This record gives sequence, C-alpha cells and structure tokens, in this order.
Amino acid sequence: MRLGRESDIGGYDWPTILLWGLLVFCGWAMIFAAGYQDDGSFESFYDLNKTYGKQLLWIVVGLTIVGLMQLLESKIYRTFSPLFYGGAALLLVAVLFTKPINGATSWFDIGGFRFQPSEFAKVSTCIMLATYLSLPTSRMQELRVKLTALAIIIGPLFLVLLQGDVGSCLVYFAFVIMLFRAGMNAFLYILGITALFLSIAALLYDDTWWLVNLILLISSAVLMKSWKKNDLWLGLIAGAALLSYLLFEPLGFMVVSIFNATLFVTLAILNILEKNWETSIYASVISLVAILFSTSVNYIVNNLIGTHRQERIWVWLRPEKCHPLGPLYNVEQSKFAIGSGGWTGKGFLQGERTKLDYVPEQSTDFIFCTVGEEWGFLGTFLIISLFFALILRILFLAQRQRSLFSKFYALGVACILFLHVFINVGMTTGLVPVIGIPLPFISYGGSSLLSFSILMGLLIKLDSRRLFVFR
Amino acid sequence: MQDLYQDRQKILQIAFVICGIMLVYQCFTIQVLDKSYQSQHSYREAVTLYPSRGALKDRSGALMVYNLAMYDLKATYNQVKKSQIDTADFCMLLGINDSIFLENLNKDFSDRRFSQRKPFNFLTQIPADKFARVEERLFQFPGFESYRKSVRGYPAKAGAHMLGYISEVNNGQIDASEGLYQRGDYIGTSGLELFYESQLRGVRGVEHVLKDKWGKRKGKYKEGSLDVSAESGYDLITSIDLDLQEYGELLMQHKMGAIVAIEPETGEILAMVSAPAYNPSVLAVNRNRKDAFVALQQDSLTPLFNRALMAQYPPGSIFKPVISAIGLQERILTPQRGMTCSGGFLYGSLRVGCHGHGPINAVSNAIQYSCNKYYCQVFKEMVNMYGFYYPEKGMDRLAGHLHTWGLGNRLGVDIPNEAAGHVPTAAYYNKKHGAGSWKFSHAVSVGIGQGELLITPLQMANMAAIIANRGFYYTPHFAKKFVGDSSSVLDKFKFRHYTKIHPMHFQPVVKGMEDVVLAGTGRRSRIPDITMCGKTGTVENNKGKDHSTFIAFAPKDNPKIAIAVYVENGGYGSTYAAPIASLMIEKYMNGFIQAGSRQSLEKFILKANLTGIKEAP
Repeated sequence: MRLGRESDIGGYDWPTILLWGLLVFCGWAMIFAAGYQDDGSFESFYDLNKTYGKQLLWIVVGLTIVGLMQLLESKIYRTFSPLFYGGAALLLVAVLFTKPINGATSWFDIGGFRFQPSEFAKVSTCIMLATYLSLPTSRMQELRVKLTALAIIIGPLFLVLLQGDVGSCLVYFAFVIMLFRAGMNAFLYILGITALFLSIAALLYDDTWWLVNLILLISSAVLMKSWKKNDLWLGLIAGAALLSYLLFEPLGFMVVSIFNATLFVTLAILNILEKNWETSIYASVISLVAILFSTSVNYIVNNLIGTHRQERIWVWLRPEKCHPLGPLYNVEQSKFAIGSGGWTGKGFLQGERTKLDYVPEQSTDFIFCTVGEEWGFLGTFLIISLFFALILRILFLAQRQRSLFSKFYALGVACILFLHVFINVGMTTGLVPVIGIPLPFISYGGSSLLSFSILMGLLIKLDSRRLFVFR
Repeated sequence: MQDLYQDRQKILQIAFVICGIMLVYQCFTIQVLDKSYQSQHSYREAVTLYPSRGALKDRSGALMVYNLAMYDLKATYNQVKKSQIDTADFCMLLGINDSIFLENLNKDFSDRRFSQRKPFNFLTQIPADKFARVEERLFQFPGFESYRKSVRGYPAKAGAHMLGYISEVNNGQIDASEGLYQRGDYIGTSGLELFYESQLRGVRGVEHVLKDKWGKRKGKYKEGSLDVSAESGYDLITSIDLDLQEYGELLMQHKMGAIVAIEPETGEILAMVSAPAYNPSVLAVNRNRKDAFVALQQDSLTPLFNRALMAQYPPGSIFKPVISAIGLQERILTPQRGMTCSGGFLYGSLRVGCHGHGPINAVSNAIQYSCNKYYCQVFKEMVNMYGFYYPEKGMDRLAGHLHTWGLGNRLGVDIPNEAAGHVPTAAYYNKKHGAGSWKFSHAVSVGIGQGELLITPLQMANMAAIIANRGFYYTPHFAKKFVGDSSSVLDKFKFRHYTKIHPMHFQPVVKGMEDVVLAGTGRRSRIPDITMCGKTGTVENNKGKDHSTFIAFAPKDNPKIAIAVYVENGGYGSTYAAPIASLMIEKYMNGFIQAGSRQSLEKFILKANLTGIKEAP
C-alpha cells in the first residue's frame, strides 16, 4: 500500500484538535482553581499530592497515548473491535468482585490509583457499534440488525447497572441517539420523548387529574378535527377546556373528568358512525395508554425506584417538597456558586463558594461550579460554546467520512460528548436531576480523562485518513 | 453501503444546538437574570437549637439537677494561621500552655474528619465562669468561635444513684435513634436521667440562618418560615425528700448498705440511699469526668453499685412479720397461738438455734422476741399444708403469696437495672435436690429469712409499706409529676397491688412490731413521741460479720413513712439498722432530732465506721 502525501489522505483536522486542547487547558485551570488554597501550601504545578498535579500527570499520559495511537495502522481498531469489547466486558464483570467505594463497585483500586472500567467500556462499545453498523450485511431496515445493535449497547449497560452506578448507565443512551442517526425507527424516539414529557408533567403535581383531562381534551380535539373538517368546530373543544379550567375547583375533578370523558367517547362514536374507524381506535388507544402511564408514574417514583433516586427527582422537579438541608442543599449550593459569578465572575482563583467546601465534589462532577463562580457568565458561555462547537465539528467530520466505520464512530463520539456535557452542566445548573457523570476533559479523574483522550485520539486518527479509505 | 438517513443529520444538529442553547440560557438565568444568587449573604446554615433539658426537683420543689452552661471553643485552622494572633496571650487567657495550643490546633488533616477550612473542636467543656473572661476578648482572636452547650449541675450533693447522669451519645445510639440524636448531643445514661429520657429531653429545634462569606449572620432564611423552635423537656418533680435523702446519706457515711423510705399511701420513694454514696457532680460532664469515673469504678467498696436496688440480700428476721401474716391468712396461726421455745428448732439432726427470750403466748410475742423456733414451726406447717410428702404444693403456695408481696420479681421502679431478688419455689428445690427427694427441712431457713431467699432493700421497704397499708402497695416510684406533661406515663403508679392477706390479719403483726420497739429487740431505738412499728434482723453472714437490718413504719395508725435499712457487717439489727431507721423517721416526721438520748444515738451512728477504711485526716 502506498502512502500518499498528507493532502491525499486528508490530514489532521486542526479545528477539532484546537477546540479539544482549549477544553483540556481550561479544565486543568479549573481543577487548579478548585484545589488551590491561598495558605502557602502551593509548591509547584506538578505537586502529586494535589488534584491539579495528578491531573497534569494524567494529561501527559493521555497525550502520550494519543500520540502512540497515531502511529498505529487505523485498520486494527476496527479489526480488533470484538477483542476490545470482550475485554471491556470482562473488566466490567471483574470489577463487580471488588470492594464497594461510595456504595458502587465501579473501581479497581491499584496502589491508590482508582481505575474505572466503565469509562473504557464506553470507548470499546463505541468502536464495536461502529464496526457492526459498518458491516456490509448490516442493513438498518432489518429487525435483526436493530436488535443486534441494541444488544451491543445493552450488554455493557447491564453490567454497569449491576455495579450500582446509574449515572454511567445513562451515558449509554448516547448510543441510542447515535442509532437514531443510523436509522432506528423514528417512531420509538417520538414515543420516548413523549413519555418523558408526560412523566415530567405527571410528576410536577401530586394530583394527575389535570393531566388526564388534558390528554382527554387533546384527543377530543383530534377526533373533532377528523369528524368535522371545519376548524371552527374546534372552538367547541376550546370551550370545554375553558369550562374544565373554571369548574375544576368548584365542582371537583370527578365531575369535570366524567364530562371530558363523555365528550371524548361521544366524539369517538361519532367518528365510528362516519366510518372513521382508524382515527377513533388510534386516538382511544393512545389516550388510554397515556392516561395509564401518567397516572402510574407518580406511583412508580414514590414506591419502586428507591428513596435515593426518588429524592433526586423531587429535588429537580419539586424542590418545595424537599428538606432544605437534605439532598436539595447540594444542588442549591451548586446553583448559588454558579449564580454568584454574575456576568464576569470573581476572577481566577477568587471563587469562595467552591473553595470553602460549600459545593460537593468541587473538582469532579461539580467542576462547572468553579467555572461559573470564577469566570461568570462569560466563562460558562465560553465553555458551553467550546463544547458545542466541538460536538458540531465532530458531526461535520462524521458527515465527511468515506468509511462507514469512521462515520459511525465519529457520530458515537459526538453523542457521548453531547450527553456528558448536557447532563453534567444541566445538573449543576438544576436543569436535569443530579446524575453523577463527569464533564469531559474538565472534571478531575484519570479514567475519565484517559477514556476521552482515547476517544478523541482515535477520532482524529480516523479522520486524518478519511480520503485514504474508499468505500 | 450508503447512508440512507442523511436527512437525520440535520435533526441531530438542530437538537444538539437547541440543547446547547438551553444550557446557556439556564446559566444566563441564574448568573445574570436572577439576582438572588449573587447576594453575598446566601450561605445558608442550619443552626440547631438545643432544648433545655428538664430539671429534677425534690417533692417540695427544691432543685436537685439543673442545667449549666458550658462552652466549646472551635477553631478554623486556615483563619487562625492567617491572622497572626498573640499566641502567648491567648494561652494565658485560656489557662493552657503553648504545647497544648499547638497540639489542639494541628490536627491530622489527612484524616477526613478534619478540614483546614472548617471549624473543629479546639478546647471543649469550658465552664461558664471561666469562659466569661475568654468571651469578652474572643473577637481579638479571629478563627476561634464559641459554642454554648448545656450540661447538668447539681446544687445538692445527694441522690447520685437515683438521679443518674448524662453523657454524649455514642454512634450506636445515634444510628438507633433515627435522627433523634446528633453527634455531640447528651443522653441520659443511668438513673432517672435514663429512665425518663424521652420526657426530659425536649424537642430539638432548628434555625436556618443566612451568613456572609465570613460566617457572620445576615438574617433568617425565608424570614424564618422553616425554623422550628426548641421545646424544653418537662421538669420532673420527684418524690424525694431532699432533707431526708441528705440526712440518710450522712447517717450511712463510712458504712455499706442501703436505706429506702417509702410513703405507704402513695408508693412514692422519700429517700433512697446506697452507701457508700458519691457526689453526683463528680460525674457531671466536664473534663475531669473520665478519671472520676474510673476512680469510682475501681473503688473496692463499689460506690457505683446501687445497693438499694441491685443488691440482693437475705432479709433475716425482718421477714418474720411477712411469714406471720401469711400464716394467719392460711389459718396455720391464730393470733393467740403460743409456743414453748427451748432454745431452738430441732428436727432430726437439724438444729436452728434461738436466743433466750420471754414466753410466747401470741403471734405478736413471736415477732417481738423474734423467736426462730416459732417461725421454723410455722414454715414447717405451711410447707406441709398438703401433707408431709407433698412439700411442693405447700412451697409453691408460700411462693405465690410472696410474689404478691412484690418479692422475687422486679417491682417496676422507675430506675433501670433493678434486681428481682429470689423467692425459692418448688421448681427451684426440685432442680437443686431432685424432684420428690426434698422435704420442708431442706428449706426451713427460708422461714426465718435466711437461706435461698434474696430480697433487695427496695423490696424490704415495700414489705414494710404493705404492712403499713395492711395489705396492699403501690409500685414504688420516684416520679411524682412532670410539669406540663399531660401524657399518661405516670398512671401506672396509681394502681394498687393487693396481697392475698385480709387486713384483719395485720392487726397482730402490727402489734408485734410495735412491741419490738417498745419492749423487744428494737427498744433502744424508741422515739419518744412517735409510735414506730419495726422489726430488727440480724442476717447470718458466712463471709464476715453479720448484717444489721431493720424495717419499720410510723406512725402505727395512718402511717406516713415505711422504711428499710440494711447495714452490711453491722452485727445485730438493733445496733445500727434500727437506730438509723428511727433517726430517719424522726427526721422525716419532726424535722429534727430531739436532744438527749436521741442526739447521742445520732452521734453514735455518725461516728461508726464499718468499712474498715480509715478516713484520711
């Protein structure tokens, strides 16, 4: 095989590398800020007793690995992907037999260094999935392929769940997003998103009758539309909605619900009389399922998922329900820390809230608080922009790959990054419930940093050879 | 292969961008739009409001235990280091030296419990009087803050055994309490403090305060809407008569033993002395407590052992009135039954000796002269009630009677660790000698209160109270009333426990006990203007000198006090126990000891030293 000039095979994508480098640098600066104390204990940047010293070591290790990866033939990653995948699975099983740390058996403790195999399983799953989807026989239209692809995701996800680490599990939903791009049924995603919003709506109030009535009214509107094509008739539904709203308190939910249910049934029968069987049946089934689902969500959250997770959900959606010093405290302190930054922040190393231990886990999962407090809105905007620029750039890289493997791999990387950033920044700002996953490149932690280095290293390697590979 | 879903790239891009915008908007909201996050005083802290623990008072309202302020000094390492304080001055103020200062300040910060940025205990349990000086100058020493704690103070030096003490909760108690206790809280550990912990404790409150970054208070969180004020514990009015208690402890100085005095018509315990006693403030929470506790623990006279409740003694002759009453009820005795005593009870090779005394023509004479033969005979007839070969049934009938007298079981007094004593039953002798192979003669010493029979001083006093009441008792107790408490915790003490003895059978018994003091074994202890009915006991002790014991009540009609005194190694019951009981009764009834023979008796008792340990000059 002849190696051509750099431009023949594509070459490195410098914008990606630049964005990545900037994020790693900002990350280290933040860890330094979170760990630095102005009490004269600072000795040097390489002080291995401090988080920033260790992180610097990890960055160097990461760079070395990325460098080595560039030397290897890119084909081998694809060829050996089942090996990586199997190895990661073995590690995930092995870690189950270690001593639990913080209630989860997620770490190997080797000489004081903690190593978290689930971080690396993420990488190998990404490679494996890309390999499978790029096989000539993998046609996404076939059910067999869809199921196999899902199985590849669910395997490690299940093992991580056994560790008791729900946060790392959710990361595997990144691959579900990736499968959407690869051609998984859009219907499933619409269903999922609908279910998500229905649950949130149901959880916002103890009483779900308002939601039941809302669903009834919406489906009534759909039925009305199919019965009488003239939109003016929809005014009738609007009237019913207004009446329900006004009479909900004085008459009680029972009367209003019965009224709305009657309206819905009447419209369904009218549709059937008009020979609109399909609409009628679909609307009935969907609204019935939706009502059942939304009424059972509160029960599930209250009784089935365990107090710990339940608390996090209430902290997120119903802070008024929570004890102010319980789980709510952490999220509030995190928001206070970010909020206290204002427009421009208090300046580098000036953050007090993060430093004074008001924020939990200030150098790992809640590192974004330091960004918010010390660099203000400009800083948070900068970091979020850098991340999303990188993610969009990777999506663009995916689009320009000739090899399907490279393409799906890049998509996987983009989705993983997206999910990490969205959940982590979202949880520190109160947008999503608290789920303990790190902020890529920025959170302190060797396993996380190394796995993201490997992820990115392989990406730029594959991308640099994009023209060399022909379809 | 080609990508069939090219159009979904756009959807993905748009979705990602929307999510990114959501994140930026959320940041914008909390950082720029919502000003409340930027105000400096938004550090929130929950300050625990400690309730004041209920005080303990005597029956007339005199304080026995009250709350005392004590201070903990906390330090924040970084602030102390930064502020360059005058260490020498500070040490002088606190009365510590340099090395202690450094030792207390330089904690092991690799330990997770300590942080250089958070306050930790620097010096704890500083008494309020010492702390006043420190407090007014504390502002000169940044990095140090004081925390007020409330511990127990003891104005009187008496009653340590029943009052008990408090100590810091341990981890097990914190876990078991489901949030009721936090580290550093105090909990009752013994005595009334333990038994009535839930009434005395009160309810903790919490105050949410806002602080600035320097830790200064800036106001209340949400205008105090989440605050819960602390509710004080209920004050306990005990049944103790403090003067009597102190007097009892004085009389029992240099002796081992116990005094229990009960008000028969209510079951309230007027005094409970366990000798040797100790000053309750020795075990109050302070820095010397540990050493004091160890010293008490290692004392050969076991002052921590509450003899009044936990010591199980053979009662000796004070048991005879009980046997008399039961004998009368079982019709073994008639009030006029007499008996000749030729110096003891003889049965085969068995011989229970008696001392020379006057003729016995009635039950009351037997009590008056404490005739051993008489009671061995009564016991024999009682056990053989169903025939010589069936001692089991007779024995159990007797034991059944004794159980209704509160013997052999815990009475249920409101102090933990009460002993049950021992009343031998047929099952006991069956186990000891084998079923069917024992006769009344194996157990005959029970008839004169010796042998396998074991009774606590509390039960002895209760026995006296039953005779005083002519047949019933209330569970002896210390708690008279919780001020302000409307619950029914104390209702169980309002219940009368009846024995199976008809009141008329007590008439000869009381007569006998009256004669004991007038012209019997206890005549030396007669109180001129009070009719005291009593019974002496001299308990054989094969380990040393006999124990001296006495039960009594007074006055004869409508008794106000029933008392039991047990003096270890005191010899004859009439030597120490009876005088002590009579002095206690006189003190309680009259409030003073009459001059003359009574005061010389008091002097004799106070002088007596039975411990064999000479007081240091």
